[in-house]
Amino acid sequence: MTTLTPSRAQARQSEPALTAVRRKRSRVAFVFIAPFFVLFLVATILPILYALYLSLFQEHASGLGFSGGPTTVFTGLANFVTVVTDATYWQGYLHVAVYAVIAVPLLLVGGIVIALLLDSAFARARRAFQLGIFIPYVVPGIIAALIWLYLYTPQVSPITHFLESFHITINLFGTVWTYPTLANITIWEFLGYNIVLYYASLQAIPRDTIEAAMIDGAGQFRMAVSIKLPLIKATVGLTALFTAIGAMQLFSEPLMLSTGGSSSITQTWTPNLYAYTAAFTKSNYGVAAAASLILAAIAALLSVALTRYAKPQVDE
Amino acid sequence: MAATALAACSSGAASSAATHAPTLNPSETYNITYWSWTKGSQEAVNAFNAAHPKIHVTFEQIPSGSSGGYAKLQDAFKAGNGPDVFNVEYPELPEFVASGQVADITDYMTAKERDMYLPQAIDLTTLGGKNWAVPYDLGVQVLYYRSDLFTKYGLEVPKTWAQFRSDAEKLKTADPGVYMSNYVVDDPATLAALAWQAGAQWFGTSGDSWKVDFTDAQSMKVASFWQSMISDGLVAKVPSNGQGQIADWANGKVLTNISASWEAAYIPGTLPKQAGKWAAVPMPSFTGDAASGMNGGSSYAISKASKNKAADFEFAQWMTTQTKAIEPRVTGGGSSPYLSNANAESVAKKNFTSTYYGTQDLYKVFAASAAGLKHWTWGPTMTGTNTAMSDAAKGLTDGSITVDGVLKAGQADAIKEMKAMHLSVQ
Amino acid sequence: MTITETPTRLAPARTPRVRPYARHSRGGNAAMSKTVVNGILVLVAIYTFFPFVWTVMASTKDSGAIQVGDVFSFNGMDIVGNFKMLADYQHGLYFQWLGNSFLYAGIGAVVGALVCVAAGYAFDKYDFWGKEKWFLLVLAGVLVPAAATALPLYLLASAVHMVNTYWAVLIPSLVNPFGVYLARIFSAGYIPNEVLEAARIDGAGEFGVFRRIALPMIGPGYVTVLLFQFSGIWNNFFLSLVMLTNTRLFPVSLGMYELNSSLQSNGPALLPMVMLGSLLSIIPLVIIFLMLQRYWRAGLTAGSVK
Repeated sequence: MTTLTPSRAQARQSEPALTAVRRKRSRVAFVFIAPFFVLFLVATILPILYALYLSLFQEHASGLGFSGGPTTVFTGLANFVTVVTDATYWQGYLHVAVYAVIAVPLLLVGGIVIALLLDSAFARARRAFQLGIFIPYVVPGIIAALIWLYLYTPQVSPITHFLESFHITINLFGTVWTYPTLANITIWEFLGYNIVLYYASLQAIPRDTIEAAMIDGAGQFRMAVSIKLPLIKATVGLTALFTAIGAMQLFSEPLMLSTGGSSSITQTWTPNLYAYTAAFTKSNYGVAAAASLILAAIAALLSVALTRYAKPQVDE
Repeated sequence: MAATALAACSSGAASSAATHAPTLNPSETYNITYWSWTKGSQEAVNAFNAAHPKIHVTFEQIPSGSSGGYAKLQDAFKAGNGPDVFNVEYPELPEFVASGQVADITDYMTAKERDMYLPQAIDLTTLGGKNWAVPYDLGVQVLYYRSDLFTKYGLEVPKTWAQFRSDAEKLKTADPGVYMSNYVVDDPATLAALAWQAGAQWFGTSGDSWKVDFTDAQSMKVASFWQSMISDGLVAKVPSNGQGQIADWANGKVLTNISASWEAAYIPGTLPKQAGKWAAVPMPSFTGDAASGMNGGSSYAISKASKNKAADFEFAQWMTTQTKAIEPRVTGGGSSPYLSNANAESVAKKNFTSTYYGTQDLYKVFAASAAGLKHWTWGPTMTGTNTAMSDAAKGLTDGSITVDGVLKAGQADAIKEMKAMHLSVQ
Repeated sequence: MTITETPTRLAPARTPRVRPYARHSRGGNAAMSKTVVNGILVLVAIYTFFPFVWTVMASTKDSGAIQVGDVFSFNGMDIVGNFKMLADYQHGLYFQWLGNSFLYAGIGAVVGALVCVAAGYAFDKYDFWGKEKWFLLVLAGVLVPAAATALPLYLLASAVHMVNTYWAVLIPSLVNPFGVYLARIFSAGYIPNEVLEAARIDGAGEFGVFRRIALPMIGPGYVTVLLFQFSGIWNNFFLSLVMLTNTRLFPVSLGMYELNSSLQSNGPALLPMVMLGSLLSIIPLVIIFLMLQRYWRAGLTAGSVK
């Protein structure tokens, strides 16, 4: 990520006359990047700092609690202790982890397999197919969850009706279905995106490589596995990163299912839901701030770890 | 009546009032904002505005409390743009008071004012010896049932929970796919009302300390009754939200609806094709005597930040007592509140018209139920505690928890939240 | 993650390179493979489209028919009634939601993408103090999930009494670190340094060069960033959920969520409205993406092909 500096060569001529120009240009550069960083400061850095500040306070009541509202008290890291020692919070991470174990491989492997099929010589109507399967990606997550919610709802759902005609009765809101139904929503949303992405990188494989393999007598299957697959590893690595970070932030889909009838998704089912519930149901801003800061830190660490891990492949 | 109320206030009739509440200045005009989800509010507000040239109320519809309305209110108060007057249900009122958002209206609620409302309603709005809200309706418990299907299956309308159970058994034998009732697994409000009805006391105070007991003998009796109904497959387990339970009623798979007075106005919209088939009775009890807890019902609270509390109180009182405030809400069956003010109640009784229930006088049923309304205290943690109980109760679906476990989860959460607020809990 | 893209690689060739080598496969086997491959693709397409088809059908039916799952028949058809119900709902509130979505996503994307392009251009073409450190900050922004900062943002906005305003949603929507990253790649790919130098020699100032030379050249890249930012804002739910309580300010995604939640207290009579509203909320983005295919494809490849 460091070879993006073609202008350095021009700037290297170090005659005194040019230094002034360079300095001026450097100032201009700051004008160009300033809007972004000002916004970044306001919308990302300041909120995090403020949350850090809020997380150090608690609201304490006196008497029975009805004597004129609570007082705000500095309590150091007490809110962090509350969150870290709350089993419910960590269960949220467990839930997203189990969910990720189901959804991420399906998204990646499913995406690769279908992209390879699409890239094979046998596929027809590739262009229309790609356009079609990309559409769920532009559907807002909450709307996708809403539609699937009804497709899971007993009586309303054509799926349960269809199965009932074979005398199979299933309750998709039942506990065993929690992860599959949740994973299905995100797979539906993002599978097409991954397919199109992988297909695009397959298409970017130089024609010579493919032709050379063909001359060697490689069949479609072998070509896919031993030639094409290694060449799109970088793309896959990057989508793995984004999918994993996405899984950690899971919010809209479980929220929709929990308000719509799922029998096991609670109001604190993911770390994000936990923080949201702390802020909006319990009005406990200190705990909410601590919970979201820990989440942000863990997500950032995970990203760095995954980037490190993925880097050797990406850089080749 | 409102005028007399204010006159009473300014003439010093309130013996307990050390400081006089500010009164309305007749030459001034007031603008107040009011947020609610209660049915027919807009119509009632229009009537208020028409009758009060000097006070203008702007109404905003919000989602019902548990579907996000309370979060919205708390949120707005913290951000400094909350309403002047808002509706809050009795379980959540203590929490709003504890968070410092509600104005103390003790000075307005003189003895004479308090006498205008049912004592149970005044009890629920009196916290720490002060008045915090003007009571509107009481969600007295009512059992709605499919009279046609009761006849079809030869069931008797139950007066006791034992009869309710034997009906359920009979029904199961007659048709295993049909149930006496739903058990709404994640609806702690219904569970609380049933415990309340049985004589439980989840919250109590002693001096400056709270006492929390969700698992007293009466609560456990309720828990074991419903647990056995669940274990024996006598009720259909459904989540409170979503279309599942509506579908069960629509298909005639479930014969009753364990709810409260306000529900009468919702059933016709939910199940339009079953007009004439539903009837109501007071909730069965363990003893057979009239006994009721409360499931829902709301009060009018005034924001501490409001600048015109006299106008707010005038509005709140008008909305809860006056003929013109009640008429537009109940006429045509738009809403069916059991009201805590006698005048309001008689107006509702007279004007509530719904061909849906045939010739049955629902307000007679409400009154019978209200006659057995028991005493109860709410603690200051109920939004969170309801969430904790409803989350725990999800496990009822697959049997990973029992009803008494749900009570324990509620108790644990209430204590935990009280401790987080640094309240003293015994 | 070395970036050595050229404009031609950014927008992949429209003509597929494949087909000819199919002849190498043996006859019968190939026919079967063709059936299997296309069969699987058809199944994937059905999976993708089924929810849309169901939603379209459901939004033409009345509440009773939807509730009992009777969607694929002519019973209870009430398209006109459903449209009327949606249009009349709280004096056209739904269309205000749609309008708000266009406002947030439109302004957010047009301005936000410009901010990204300016920054990306500077990172690519200029040398300045701490440049790579600044860029690292951008990348950190990519990696810190937006959902984790939405709540802190709300807490801050609440403290300064900014919640429940257009700004509360609009300002955070302008920030798109990934867009800066993309814009830097596009700048390297689309804008040759020689052109800039030539303009400077002709006496153009730095801002003039950006406005008159660089911006038009990076145009397609700008559209790509804009497109992804538009869909990102349109689809963002969490931010508006925490920031807004006034229904008149809602974007359509939040509006639909609240409308659906209100079914619990208002009964299922509004169900057809939820279906129709969901369907209509999807259509604008689908149309935009179908029309601007070229650009999102460019974004996909530039963003993740190494």
